[in-house]
Formats: sequence, C-alpha cells, structure tokens
Amino acid sequence: MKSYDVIVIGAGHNGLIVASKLASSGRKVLLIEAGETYGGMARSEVLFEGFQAPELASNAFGISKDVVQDLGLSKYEILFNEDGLKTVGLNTENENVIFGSSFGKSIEGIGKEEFKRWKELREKFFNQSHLFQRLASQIPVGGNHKTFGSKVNLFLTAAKLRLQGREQFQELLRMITMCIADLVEEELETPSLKGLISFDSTLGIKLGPRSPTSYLGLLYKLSQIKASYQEKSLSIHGGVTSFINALFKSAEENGVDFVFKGKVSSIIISDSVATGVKLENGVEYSAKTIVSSISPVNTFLDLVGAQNLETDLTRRIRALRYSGNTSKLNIILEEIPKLNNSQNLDENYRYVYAPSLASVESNFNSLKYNELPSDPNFEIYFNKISSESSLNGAVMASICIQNTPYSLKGGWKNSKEVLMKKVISTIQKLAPDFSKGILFKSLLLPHETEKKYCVAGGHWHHSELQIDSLYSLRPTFDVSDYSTPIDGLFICGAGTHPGGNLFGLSGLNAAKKILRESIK
Amino acid sequence: MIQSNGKNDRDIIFGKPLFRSPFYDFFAAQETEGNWYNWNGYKSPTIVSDQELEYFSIRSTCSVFDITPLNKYRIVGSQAVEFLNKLTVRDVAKQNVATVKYTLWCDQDGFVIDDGTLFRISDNDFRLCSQEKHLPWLIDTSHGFDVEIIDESKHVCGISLQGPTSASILRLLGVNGIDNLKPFHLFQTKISNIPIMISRTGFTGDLGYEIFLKNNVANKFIERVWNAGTNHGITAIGYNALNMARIEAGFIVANIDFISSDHAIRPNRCRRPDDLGLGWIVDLNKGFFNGRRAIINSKLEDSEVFKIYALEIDGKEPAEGSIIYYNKKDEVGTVTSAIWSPMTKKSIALAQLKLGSSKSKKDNLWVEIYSLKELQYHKLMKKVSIVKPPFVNLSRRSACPPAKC
Ligand SMILES: Cc1cc2nc3c(=O)[nH]c(=O)nc-3n(C[C@H](O)[C@H](O)[C@H](O)COP(=O)(O)OP(=O)(O)OC[C@H]3O[C@@H](n4cnc5c(N)ncnc54)[C@H](O)[C@@H]3O)c2cc1C
Repeated sequence: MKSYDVIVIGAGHNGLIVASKLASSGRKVLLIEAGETYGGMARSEVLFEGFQAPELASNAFGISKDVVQDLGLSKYEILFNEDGLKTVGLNTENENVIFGSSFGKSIEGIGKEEFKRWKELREKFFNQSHLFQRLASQIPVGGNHKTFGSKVNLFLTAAKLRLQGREQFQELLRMITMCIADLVEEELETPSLKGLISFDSTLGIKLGPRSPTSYLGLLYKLSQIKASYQEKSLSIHGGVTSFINALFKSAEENGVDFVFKGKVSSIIISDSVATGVKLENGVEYSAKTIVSSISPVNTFLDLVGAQNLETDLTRRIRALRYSGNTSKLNIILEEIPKLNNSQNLDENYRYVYAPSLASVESNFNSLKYNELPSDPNFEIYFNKISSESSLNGAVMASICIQNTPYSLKGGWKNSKEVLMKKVISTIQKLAPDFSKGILFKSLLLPHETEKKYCVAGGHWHHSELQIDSLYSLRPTFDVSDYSTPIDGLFICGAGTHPGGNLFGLSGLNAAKKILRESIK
Repeated sequence: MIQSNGKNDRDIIFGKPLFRSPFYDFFAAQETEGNWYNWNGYKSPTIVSDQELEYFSIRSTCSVFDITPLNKYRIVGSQAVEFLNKLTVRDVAKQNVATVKYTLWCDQDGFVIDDGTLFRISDNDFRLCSQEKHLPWLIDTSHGFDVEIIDESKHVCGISLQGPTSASILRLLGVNGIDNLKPFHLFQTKISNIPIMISRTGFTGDLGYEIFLKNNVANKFIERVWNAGTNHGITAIGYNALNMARIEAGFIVANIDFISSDHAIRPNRCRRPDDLGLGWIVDLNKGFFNGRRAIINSKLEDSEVFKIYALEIDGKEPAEGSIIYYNKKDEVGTVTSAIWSPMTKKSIALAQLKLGSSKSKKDNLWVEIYSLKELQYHKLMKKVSIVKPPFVNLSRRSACPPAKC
C-alpha cells in the first residue's frame, strides 16, 4: 500500500488549494479525483465535437485574494475582466437595464433619482457584507474550535461592526434576516432592476426573493466580491479555466501526486482514526491526514459510514438540505445573435433574464412544489470559440437556469425537452434569430450533475447556504472547524464555511487548520 | 372471573385517553383502591388492594405484575449485532443466543439516554425493552445497517411473575425446562397451546420470570396462570410493591434515579454510565459506539460529578426526597428513591451525591428527614452510610434448579 502524509479527496478548486498548500509545507500529498480531470464542478469537459469548456461553473464573481497571494498564483496567467463585467437585465417589455461591474457601481437605463436611491442602497449592502467578508477567512469558533486567537478574531469582528456606529449596527440587525424583496421594494422602482437583484440573491440556493433571510444570499455574494479583486472578476472568456489551471500547476509544482479516474469508495478507519482510503477499483492508499473536499453528505454517509459516527451527527448530516436547484444549458451557435433592437448580444456582457421580482418569486414557487417554472429565469454568457476543433469561430452560450427542481413532479423524462424549449423560446423573443443558429445543445439537470460530478443532490454549494447553515453551523455545529470526530479526517469543500462558488476560502481555511493542528 | 368489556381499550381518567393493556380487566376485577397511574400511556395500578400484602407476595409467594406498558422493540436483520453494538455500550457479539442482558445507551456526550433489557432471540433477532420511547433514536441509529426496527409495544404484552413460588406455578402449567432455565436466559414454549417467550428475569432481585406473548391470547393466558397459582399464593400487584422490591435490589429507574439525557434541560443533570455505577457494563474495547469517545475523555478529567450511591440510614424513617449533607452543613445531594425495607429492616435509599474524590466526606454524611406525625413535621438529622448494592441478596434468585415450594 502506497503511503503519503496527506490524501486529498476530490480535485475541485478547494481540493486543489488544500493539496497545494499542504504540499508547499513539505508534506507528501496525493490528490485523488473520481473524474478524468481536475476542477470539480468548474472543470472543462469535452462538450461538443471535441470542444472543451467548463460545463457548469463558467464564471466567477471573484476568487479570494488571500488564495491568490497565499499560493503565489499571480505568477501563472489568470484571466480577469480588466474593466469589469457588466450585466444586462433582459426584458421583453421595457428597456434593458445595464448593471455596471462590481454589483452595479454604475447603471444605465434608469432615472437619476432611482440611481441615487440605488447608490445608497448598494453602499449599505456592501457595508453590511463586510461582516461576512471578515468571517469568511476565519475558522469558525464553535464546538471544537475555541482557541484564544479565534475568539479574539471573532471579538474584533464584532467590535469593528459596533464601531461603525449604533445606527449602522441596528440597521444590520434589522436587515440581516429580511427578505431581499422587502429591501428592494422599499427603495427601488425599476422592475428589471429589482428582478436582477432578486435573481443574484437567490441563484444557487433554495429561497425566493420573498423568503425571509434571502438577503443573506446577496450578502454572501457581495462579501465574495469584496474579498476578491472587486472590479476584476474572472474573465468570462476562460477566466475560470485559467484559475483552475493555475491551481493545478501550483499543486504540481509543489509536488502533489495525482490519481484521476479514482473514485474513493471508503475511508479506512480503525478505532475512530482515519488511516487511509480505498478506491472503487480496490486500490488502497494510506496517510495520517485525509482531507475530503466532497460534499459532507457523501463524506460522512458514504465514505466514513454511519457505522463509524455518532447517531447525533448522522442525524444532523441527513437533515441537511442538499437537493440541487440549478441546471445548466450549454448551446453552440453559429454566431452571436442580434437583439430585437438590432444591438448585438455582446460577448463581454452577462445577460440575466429575470424581468421582475414577481417573476423570480413565481419561479421559486414552482420549485417549492417540484414543478417547472412557467417562465424560467436564467443567466447567459456568450463565448467565441477559438480552438482547434471543428467549432472554431462558433459561439457557446452558457445558460444557468434558476429554480430547476431536483425531482420533478411526474419525472424528468419528457420535461427536459420542455424546459429547454421554454428557455430557448424566451431568448428567441429577445433575439429572433437565436434558434436558427443552434448547432448543438445539452442540458444538465441537478440529478445528472449529482451523478456526473459525484456531489449529493447536485447542489451548487454542496448543501444549502442559508442562515441555519452558516459559519459555525456549516455544515453542522460539530464539524464546522474543518475537523471531524474521526481523528485525522478533515473536510474542506463547498459544504464547509464559508460556502460554495469559486471562492477558495473553504480550502484555504481548512489547510490552515490542518497546519495548526499538526503543530499541537 | 375475568370479564371483557368489549372493544374499548382506552379510558378517560386523567383528562386524556389512556390505553388499557390486555390484562386490564384482570387487574381491574381485583382492584379495590382506585389507585391507578399513567405508565407510558397505559392505565396501570399503583396498588391493587394492599401494598404490604402485595410486597410480601414478591418475597414469600408469587406476584403478578403487568409489564405490557414497557416499550418493546424488535430488531431483526443481518446487521442486527453491528447495529446494537453502535447503539448500546455492551459488546452484543458476546451475548449468546437465548440470553438477556441489562444494557444502556448513550448520546454523543456519553450521557445515558436510557437503560433496558436486550433479549437475543436468535442470531439476528433481538427484543429491546425500555422504560422510555426511543423509536426515532433507534431508526436514526439504524441508518447504514441492514436491520429492521419494529415497534411491538402495542402488539406484544407481558407479565412478570416474581417470588419464591413462581417456578412451581410454571411447573404446574407444564412449562418443561423451567428447572434448567438459568438467570438471564430465555426460551420459547407454549402454555395450553399459547406461544410464549419466557425469561428468568425481573426487577425484584428475587426468583422470577418475565413472559411475553401476543395480545390476542392474553386473557386465556392470565386465567391459566391465575388458576395454577391459587395454592401458591399468587397475588396481583401494583407499582408500589414492585418499587419496594426494586429498591431493595438496588435497581435504578430512568427519570426517577437519573434523568435521561433526552429529557434533561439543564446540562449538569445528564449522567454517564460511571456516574450511575454502571461503568462495568461499558465495553470500551469493542470498537465504536455512541458516546464512546466522550466516555473515554471523561475518564481523563476528574471533574466533580454526581454519582448514584446506595445508602443505609439510621432510624426507621424512610428518606424520600430528602437532602443529604456533609458534616450536617454542606449539601451534597438528594435522595431519589427510598423506603423502609421490610427485608433488611432498615431505612434504605438511592441518592445522587457529589462527593468528589476525597474519601473522608463519605464518613460524615447526614440526611435531613421531615417526618410528618399527626400534622406536625419532625425534622430529623440521621447518619448515612454508603453501602454496596444490592441491599438484599437472595440465593434463590440464582439457584438452579429453583427450589420446589
Ligand atoms: C449548475 C451550476 C452552475 C454553477 N455556476 C457557478 C458559477 O458560475 N460560478 C461559481 O463561482 N460557482 C458556480 N457553481 C458552484 C461551484 O461550481 C461550486 O460551488 C464549486 O465547484 C465547489 O467547489 P469544491 O471544490 O468545493 O467542490 P467540487 O467542485 O464539487 O469538487 C469536488 C470534486 O470531488 C470529486 N469527487 C466527488 N466524490 C469523489 C470520490 N468519492 N472520490 C474521488 N473524487 C470525488 C468530484 O468529481 C469533484 O471533482 C455552479 C454550480 C452548479 C451546480
């Protein structure tokens, strides 16, 4: 049996970060990945005719600056949108709103008064996201983790909040559990602007804009923007892949060994101590430290097994909400289609179809009852293909569809086609030539993501990112500090604090925790 | 003699509907005191007719006590042993088929949720009896094991026959093999064609048996038993008499002598097996089980905790609910169960005390008893000595074969 200091399970971005960081500390690290390549839900797959691109996560709000600095990623080429990414709020009735980079720093298509109100609101949002940004890079203080340093950190965070003044502090307390709908309706008028903010607050999580606490979804995203390069989000043209490649190169240079197409079937445990892993093909590897970047549900229930865990813990893990609610439609077009008003859809923009708050809420209602939304909301990126494949010169439309039920009432058999048609016909209304130019299309539903990417429920964040599953409650109270009741086993994926997206702090925090633990 | 009043198996007596065990009519027909209580949702007798006589039937003839209200869970499946090894603190793999073991189960902090008896009926077939309801806990614990948990509580009824003549009554009923049945063993047989499971167990510290059977044959069964026992002093008893016997035997009861961690609201009320004096049944070497890590860790820290002790108290007054003092001054704990014991002729008690590791405290313990005499309280300060349970140790309890009497 081959032996390592550390085995990391899963080569998503969090797994890569942990592997690279621990290898750079001189440890012998093995990274085992079930898929054929690295990148997790952001990995490039051969999609059509030999053409490769990320199938799921194709853009990122922002990657953590700490991660880039800590791993020295700037020496690799990471592609950023140098002048920021603008979002167009699509609309079949009114004029489209153009939402500037860094979450609407500027907005075109709304009145002056409205913009003034938005500016104030936006500032408030960003101010309040500061709390989340500070907490994001800390190891949660909780059940097991009560070191002096971590408590001081938490105290300082609280103190800093309070020092912003009594009024601001009270305002935070007032707003933090509110729904995003109330907040934007208090201040704004433009339907598509409200629709866009509602969409961004709830994409990936199972809440509608009227659900209490849906504001937290927005705060999470804003904190991510703040913790990253703000204006310079990853480029929509290969930015995600450049980041993933940089992580891989960094891991490789630090001496990480890789096994691909190796699905771990169990973690070998003796007397509540993890000693190695066993793959589906029977091969075993041993290590003193095992770090799992896969979903907590898969880690605990499949790899560790309820037989090795307290009933209290398996109860809580089984109670996690992790059925995915977002699907991804990838379409290859002959060329970039034109909008009704003869403007070209621009490949430097992100387009969101969420014409009003009511539309996003009604989409969510359908999800609640496991039904297809009648008029689905989605976001699109266009990307000119320049590759050696036969598709050179064509265009890929990456479409993320919100509120797609994991288990659809009546089953998915005929409805997959229906969902695709709905989305395409909406785009068709905005860009009449759209469907003519379609060369290929494919839709990946949550349960298909579950299977292909080995993530329970196919959930964006591995498990819901909501008020009851943040910070020291993520994924559950007893395992929130990246350690587990199995000695030597750690978790570091999107299911841990702070959560999912291409962010990287779950991985970085976990690596720090492991390094600290080994000094003890 | 036994009348059935039709289908009505519920009774509205405490403002909420109570179940009636299949033996209800049998007890109701003999009951003269109107003294019932709610045991696990069943209308059960506290006293049938005379508490002292009932107690003495346990110690000198044969008592009949209805154990139907106990929760009874059937655990079946190829991984029943593995499941029970995760659930409970003993090594179930070491429990032979056709035996019964007293056991405990804990939560992740090593705090006792409940105790109970585990009957191993065959390799992969067990029955777990407990005072409290635990179906959700059992089902949640069974996740990942090939095992089925069936709540038999409403389908299986039970009778406990305790006392020196109990074996003779069973002999009269034609139960072959009663002479060879050792304590904590069981077998399945028939009485007048009624299938039963019989075990040499009980809650009295005396010779005695527990018998489980299907509800639909309960009436016929109890009639046979009663008739067979007429010349052996068979007596229907209620909880109070049983409680006296169990205190003499030094047995503890969940939510009387300790608070189940399921019920405890205040964190310092929870108890670990060691605190209950039951550390000896915990098998730390069998591999993982619920609470194991916390129990091991708790042995490393020597924080002061409450533990259960058996006490003998000077004088004749029972010390129920009294407070125990060190040096007549400092409170160190409370009595949880107490009686004047007819067997030992002493005032005995079970109590939770926080004594720490210092030995000296043990020799200077006092109990403050408020004794009510004709509408006046007499405040007594009595010397307490810690003894090793049981208070009553009867050789007939384990004699095999049991004496013919
Ligand atoms: C439809 C969709 C669209 C998304 N779009 C975006 C987006 O635009 N921007 C964004 O930032 N985020 C997006 N996300 C979210 C983002 O992809 C995830 O939050 C992120 O990938 C989580 O990273 P991770 O490293 O924690 O885990 P993952 O990326 O899930 O990586 C886990 C890895 O572990 C491997 N694995 C699993 N089980 C085993 C096993 N037993 N043995 C070995 N290997 C195993 C998997 O194959 C996978 O490679 C999207 C998610 C979905 C579902």
